[in-house]
Amino acid sequence: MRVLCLLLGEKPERLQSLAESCLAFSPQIALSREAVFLEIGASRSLFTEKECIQRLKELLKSADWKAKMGLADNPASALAFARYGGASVEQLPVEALSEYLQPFAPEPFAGAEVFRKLGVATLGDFKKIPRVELPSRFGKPGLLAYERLLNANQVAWPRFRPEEKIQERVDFDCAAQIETFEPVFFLLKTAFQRIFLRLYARRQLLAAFTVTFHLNRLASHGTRARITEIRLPLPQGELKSVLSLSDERLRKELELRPLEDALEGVSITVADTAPNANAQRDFFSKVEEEREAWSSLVGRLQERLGPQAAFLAAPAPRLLPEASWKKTLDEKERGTFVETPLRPLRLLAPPLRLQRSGDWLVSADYRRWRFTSFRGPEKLQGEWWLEGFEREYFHVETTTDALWVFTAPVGKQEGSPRGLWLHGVYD
Amino acid sequence: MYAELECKTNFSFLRGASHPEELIERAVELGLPAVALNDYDGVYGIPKAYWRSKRHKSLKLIVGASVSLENHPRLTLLAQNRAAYGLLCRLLTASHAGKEKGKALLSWQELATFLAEPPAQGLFLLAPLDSDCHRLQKIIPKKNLFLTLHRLLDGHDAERSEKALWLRSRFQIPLVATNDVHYHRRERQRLQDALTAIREGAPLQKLGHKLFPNGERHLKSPEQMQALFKDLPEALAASLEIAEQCRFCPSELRYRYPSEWIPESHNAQSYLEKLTWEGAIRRYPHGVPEKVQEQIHGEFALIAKLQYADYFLTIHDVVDFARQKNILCQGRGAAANSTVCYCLGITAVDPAKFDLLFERFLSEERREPPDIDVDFEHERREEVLQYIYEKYGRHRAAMVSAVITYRSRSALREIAKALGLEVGTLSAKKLKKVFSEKAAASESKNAFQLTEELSEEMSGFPRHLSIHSGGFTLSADPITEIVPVETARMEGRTIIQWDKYDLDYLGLLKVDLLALGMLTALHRTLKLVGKELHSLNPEMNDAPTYAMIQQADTVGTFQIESRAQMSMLGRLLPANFYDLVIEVAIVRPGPIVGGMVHPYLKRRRGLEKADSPHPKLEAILRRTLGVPLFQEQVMKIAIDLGGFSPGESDQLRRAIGAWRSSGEIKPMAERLKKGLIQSGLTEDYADRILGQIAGFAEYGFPESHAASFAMLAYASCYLKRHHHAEFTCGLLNSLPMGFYQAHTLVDDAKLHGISVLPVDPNISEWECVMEKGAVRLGWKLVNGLHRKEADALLAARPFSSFADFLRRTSLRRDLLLRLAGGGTFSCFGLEPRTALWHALESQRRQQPHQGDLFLDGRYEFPPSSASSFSPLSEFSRIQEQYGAFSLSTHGHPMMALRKMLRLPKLHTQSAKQLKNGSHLSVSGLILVRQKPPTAKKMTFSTLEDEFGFLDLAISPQVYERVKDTFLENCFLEVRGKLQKETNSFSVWVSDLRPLWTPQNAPELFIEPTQYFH
Repeated sequence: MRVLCLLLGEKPERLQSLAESCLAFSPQIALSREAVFLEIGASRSLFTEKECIQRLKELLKSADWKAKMGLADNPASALAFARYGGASVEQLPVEALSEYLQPFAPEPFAGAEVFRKLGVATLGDFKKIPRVELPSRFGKPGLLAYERLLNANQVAWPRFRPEEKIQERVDFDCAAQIETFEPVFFLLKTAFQRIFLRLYARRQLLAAFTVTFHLNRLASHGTRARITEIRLPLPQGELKSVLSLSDERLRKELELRPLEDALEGVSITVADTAPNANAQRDFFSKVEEEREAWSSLVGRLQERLGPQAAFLAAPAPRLLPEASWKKTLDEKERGTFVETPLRPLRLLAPPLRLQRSGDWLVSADYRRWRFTSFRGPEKLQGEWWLEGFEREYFHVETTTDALWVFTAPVGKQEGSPRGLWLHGVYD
Repeated sequence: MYAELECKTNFSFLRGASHPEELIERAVELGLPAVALNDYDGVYGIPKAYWRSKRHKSLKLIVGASVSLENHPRLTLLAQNRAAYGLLCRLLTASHAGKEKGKALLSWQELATFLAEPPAQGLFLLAPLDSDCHRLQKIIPKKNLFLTLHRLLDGHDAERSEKALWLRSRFQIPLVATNDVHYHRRERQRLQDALTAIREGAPLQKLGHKLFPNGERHLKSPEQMQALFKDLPEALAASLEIAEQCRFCPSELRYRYPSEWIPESHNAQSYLEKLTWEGAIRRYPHGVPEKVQEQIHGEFALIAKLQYADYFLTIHDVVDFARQKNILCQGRGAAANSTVCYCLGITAVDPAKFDLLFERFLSEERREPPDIDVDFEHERREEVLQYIYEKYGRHRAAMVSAVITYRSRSALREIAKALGLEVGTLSAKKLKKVFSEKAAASESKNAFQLTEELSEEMSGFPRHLSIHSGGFTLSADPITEIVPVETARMEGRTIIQWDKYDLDYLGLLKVDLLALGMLTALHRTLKLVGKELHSLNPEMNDAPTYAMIQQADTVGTFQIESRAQMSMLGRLLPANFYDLVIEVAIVRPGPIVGGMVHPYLKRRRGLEKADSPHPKLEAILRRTLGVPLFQEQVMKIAIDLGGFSPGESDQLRRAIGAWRSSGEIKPMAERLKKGLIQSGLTEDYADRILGQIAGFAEYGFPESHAASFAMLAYASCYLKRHHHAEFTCGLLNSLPMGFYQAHTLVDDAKLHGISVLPVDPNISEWECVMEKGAVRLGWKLVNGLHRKEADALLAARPFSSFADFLRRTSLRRDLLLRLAGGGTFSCFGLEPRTALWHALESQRRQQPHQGDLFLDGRYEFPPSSASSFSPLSEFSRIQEQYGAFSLSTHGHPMMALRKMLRLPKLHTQSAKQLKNGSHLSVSGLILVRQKPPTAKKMTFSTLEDEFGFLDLAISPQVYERVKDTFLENCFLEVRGKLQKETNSFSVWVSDLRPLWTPQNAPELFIEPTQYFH
C-alpha cells in the first residue's frame, strides 16, 4: 500500500471538490475533515509515484489550492508527514500519535503531553517503551497508537463517494423538429415526475433546476444542447406548480429563440434543493395544498410581472410606516404583527405632497379633497440611527375618502417649516 | 398647575434614561411644584434626588415606587407620610425576598396584607387602566386609589381616554394625569431606545414596536400638560391634590443606633465618656496629658451636640469583639484624627503626637455623619460580620450596596451592541480599533459619532447593585422601615438599596468593616514569633529596619512594596516613622499631579531651601519641608491663613475632591487665594499653593490615614527584617494579598538566605509551617488542590513509600501527575519522571474496570522502563514546579535559562554597580506592567532575576515600538540606559526582545501583575 495524503490547511470546504478531482488518479480515495488520502500503490501501471505527485501538484496549482503532501506506506504516516514534514517515522514528534490513533479523524492524543513531561519527544523515543507497559498507563488508545505505529493494526479505509446528481433524461424515439411546445411539455412532464419522486424520497424540495434540450447529434452546427436555468421563487414539492411555471417560461423562451435543430430529448438536472420538513402529506388538511398553490401563484406572477412587482411580504420591525414590511423569500416568515392604531391598506410610495387651501387638500397633480374632520395627531419619531424621522399623522375624513395624512419638517435643519403629505387611503 | 407623579430614573435599570438629579433640575426649570420618583421595585434614586432637591425650595420631592404584582400590570405607590414610607419599604423588601435578582414580585395576598396595615392609609396607589379595579378597590381605601391616564400621542390616546372615562363611571375611581416619564428631556429618547435594546438583547434595528413610538415620555411643563388634558382638567387637578397630601420628606429618616446593651445607669454619651476615659488611662499610662484631655473634652462636646455617641459605641463594640476573638483590627481614614477613637482602641495613631486635625473627621458645620473605617484580618472579617448579624439581627443590620455604574468602556461596548456593532469582550487597546472598523461598515448613519455621544451620556448610569466591600448599616428599629433590603447574590447577605454616598446624602450612619490581607499576615507571623503587635518596637525606631527600607528591600511589606514605592524609598531614604508616613502618602496621584514630589525630595536632600514665607505656614508645613502633602495641611492653611472656619475648611477639602465635576471649588479657591494674600503671602506664592492643592483633586491621603497605614507598614518591615522566615510563612499563608505572587515572595526569601523546603507528603500541612528555621511549603500552594482533598491526604499519613501513598490516597489524575512532575515525591527517592510513570499506572489501576483480583490492593511497583527516562533538566524541573505550585524551590527560572541560552552577563544586581547613564543589556522576568494615568503615558515595569529587581521605564515612543513584545512575553532581554538616584535604580528602555521565538518557547508563562489604565 502506498498512500498519498493531501493536507488542506485552509478552506476545508474545498476538500469535496479536491477529492472528486483526485478520483482521476485513484479509485481508492478517503476523506477526513482536513485531508484527502489517495491509495496510489494499485495505480502504478498508470502512473509512477513521481508522475502522480507531479500531476497532483499541477492540479492543485491550476485550481489554486494549497496543500501539504505526505507519502507513506499507511495513511497515518502519510498524514503525519504531511503535517509535521520529514521522512522518518522515528523523527516525528510524539504528538503525531494522534494521527496513528485515528488517521481519518484525528483528535489530539491526551497522552502526548504526559510523554513530553517524561522526556519522550519523538515517536522513536516512544517506540522504545515496552509495549506491555502502555495499556496500564494509557489504556486502549496508548496500545492502539503503538500497534498502528508498528503497522500491526490496520485502519479500515473509509471510501469516498462523490455526491450524487439528480438528473432525468427523456428522449424521442428519433430526433424531431419541434413546431409546437406540446411534445416537449409531454417529455418534461415525464422527467419532472421522476425528479419529484426522487426528491420526495429524499425529503427535499426543488429550488432550482436546469432544462437541457439535446439537439440532433448529427447536425453540422456546433450547438449540441440548449441549457436553461430556472430558479423557483419558492422551493416546490408539487409537480403541478413547477410544470405550469416551466411551461410558461420555456414556451416564452422557445418563441423568442426557436431551437436550432431537431430535438433528440430533454433532460432536467436539479441544481438546488431545500429541505422538506413536511414530506409526510397530511390528507386531512388543505394547508399544504394552499401553500403550494399560493407559492405557485406568486411564482407565476413573478414570471409575468417581474420579481419587483409581485412578492411575498412580512411585517418588519420598523416604526417608519413605509418600512414596516419587507419582501421575503420564505413564505413561512410571517413576522410579528403588532397592534398599531388603525392603518390604511393602501400606502402611497412615495407619499404625495399636499397643500391646504381652506377646507381643501390639494395635491401637486391637482387632485382635491374637501376635508370634514381630522383626528390625531399620532406622533411617530425615531430611527435616529438611520436617517431619523419625526411625523405627526392625522386621520382625515373628506367628502369622498378617508385619508392618512402626515406633517413633517420639510428640510433637515432644525426649525424647518412643516409640510403636509398624503401617505395612505383607508378602504 | 400640574405635578408629575410618575417618573422613572435610571435606577429603573435599562428603562429610565435620566439621572435623578437631572429630573429634579428639569422639574424646577419647568416650574413643576412637585415631582414623584417611582422606580421599579425600589427607592434607589431617592437620596440623590433629595440631595439635589434641597437646593430648590420650590420643588417638592415625592417618594414612591413602582411595584411588580403577580399577573397584573405594575402599580405605583406614593408615600404621604413617614409611616407610609416605612410600609412601602417593607413591602418592597418583601417583593425582593427569595426572588432572583431583578425579579421582584408581590403576590396579591402579600399586597393585601400590607395594605391592610394602618400606615397604608398614607399610601396612594396609582393604577394603570388595564388594572383589576374591582380587586384593587377591595384592598385599598377608595380615597387612596387613582387611575392614571397618559396622553402620549401614540395613536392610542382616544382609546385610552374612552376606557378611562368608562372605568371612572363604572368603579367611581378618580383619574389622575401623568406622563409616564422616562427621561427629563425629549433628547434622551435616543438613549432610552438604546437602553431598551440593551435590555432586550437585540440591536435597535430589530426592535421596531418594542421601542416607544416617539419621544413624548419626558417631563412636561404644566402648560404642555394643560394643552393635552384640556378636556379633563380634573385629572390634572388630581395630580396636585395627591402632591399636596404627600408630605413625607427623606430628611425625616434618622437612624437610632442600637443601644439596648448600654448599662442602665448610663446613657450613650455618658457611657462613651466612661469608656473613653478608661481607654485614655490605658493609652497614657503616665497620665493623660492636659492637651489630650482638652481635646477629648472638645470631641465629647461635639459628639454630644451631634448625637453620635451611639455610633462610636457601636464601633467600639465591634472592635472590642474582634479583640476578644483575637482578630487583628485597626481603624483607618479620618477616624485616626479623633482622640476618642484612639482611646477607645478603634485607631492606633495618637492624634496628639501628630497634631492631627479633628475637623477632618467631624465638624459641626458639615453636619455629616463621621466615617469610621476599620480594617480586620481578611480571613476573619466574616466572623465580625456574623457577630453583627447575630447581635443585632438581620432585620436591624444589612450591608450597604455599591452601585456599579457603566464606565466609558462598558458603555461604549453596550451602545455599540445596541447599534448592531458587536465588538465582544475585546481588550481596551483593541476595542477602539475594532469599533472604528465596524462603525465604518455599519448601515447606521454616523454610527461612530452616535456611539460616542450615547456612551458618553450613558457613562455613570447605574448598571446593577453589588455588595459594598465593608459598609454596614445598623439600626435600633427594623432597617426595612428605612430602606428596602434586597438579597445579594452572595449567600447569606442582604443589602440595602442605597450606597454609602446615598447614606451621606441623607445623613445616615454607616460602619465600614473592611478586610485587610496584611493584618492576617501580621497575625500569622506574630503567632509564629510569639509576639504581640503592640510590643513590636513601640518607639518605631529600629535602625536595621530603616536600613532595610532605605535599600528598598520591601517585597511583601505593607504599602511600600510596589514598584513606585520601592523606587521612592531609594530616593526618600526614610529614617524615622514620620518619613514612613510621608512615604506612604507621597506616592499617590494627588501629590504627583500637584507637583509636590520633586520639591519635597529636593528640599529633603538640601538642594532647595525649605522656605515658608509666613510664620503660620512654617508651623503647618514644617514637617513636610514647606510642601503641602496632606489634606489636613490644606485645611490648616485655609483656617490659619485663608480665614476659613474649621468646618469651612472641610468643605474646601470636599470641594477639592470634586474639583473637576462641580463648580463649588471656584469661589472657595478665590476666597482662599484672597485670604492667603491678605495674610501677607505674595500672589505668586498663593498661586503656587493653590496649584499644589489642586493636585488633591486626584486621590490623596489624609495624614491620619497615612499614619495608620505607616504603622502597619513599619510592623511588616520590622517583622521582615527580624523574622523574615516567619514573615514569609505568614504571607504565603495569607495569599492572595499584596502586590506580589508567591514565587516572588519565595525568591525574595531565598535571596535573604532563608531556606524554603518543598511540599513533602509526610511533613507538609495544609498551610506553610516553620521547620527548624526554614519555611516548609504547605499543600494550599498546590494548584487546584481543594482543602477537602488535602485533609483526606493528611489523615492518611504517614506514607512509607510512593506506592503506599498511591494506594491510600485518591487524588485526581491531573493533580497527582502535577505533583509527581513537580518533584513532590522525591522524598521517597524517586525522580520526578519515575514518579510520574508510576503515578500513571496507579491511576488506571484505581479505576474499577482495571481492578486486578489477584493484587488485593497490595500494589507495589513492578520493574519498568521508568529508569530509562532521562532526568529532568534544571529548567524543566523549575518549569514542572511552576506547573504544580506556581513557584519553584529549585531556583529562579532565570538561573536555569542563563545556562541554556546566550544571555547578557549583566544581572539586576551587577547592573546597579554601573555608572549613572551607562548603556546596558539585562534579561529577566517581567513581574509588573504598569501605566499610571499620572505618568504622562510612561509605562513602568519590574524586571526580576535570581539576584533581585530592576525597574524599567518605557517612554511612549519606545512603548509603541515594543508593545507587542512587551505584552506577549514574560522573559525579556532589555536594553537601555541606567538611571541612578541615591538608592533608586531604573533602566530607561530603548529596546526589548524576547528570550526565545514563539516556535521554541518553553511552556512557562508567568502572568505578571498588570495595572493598565
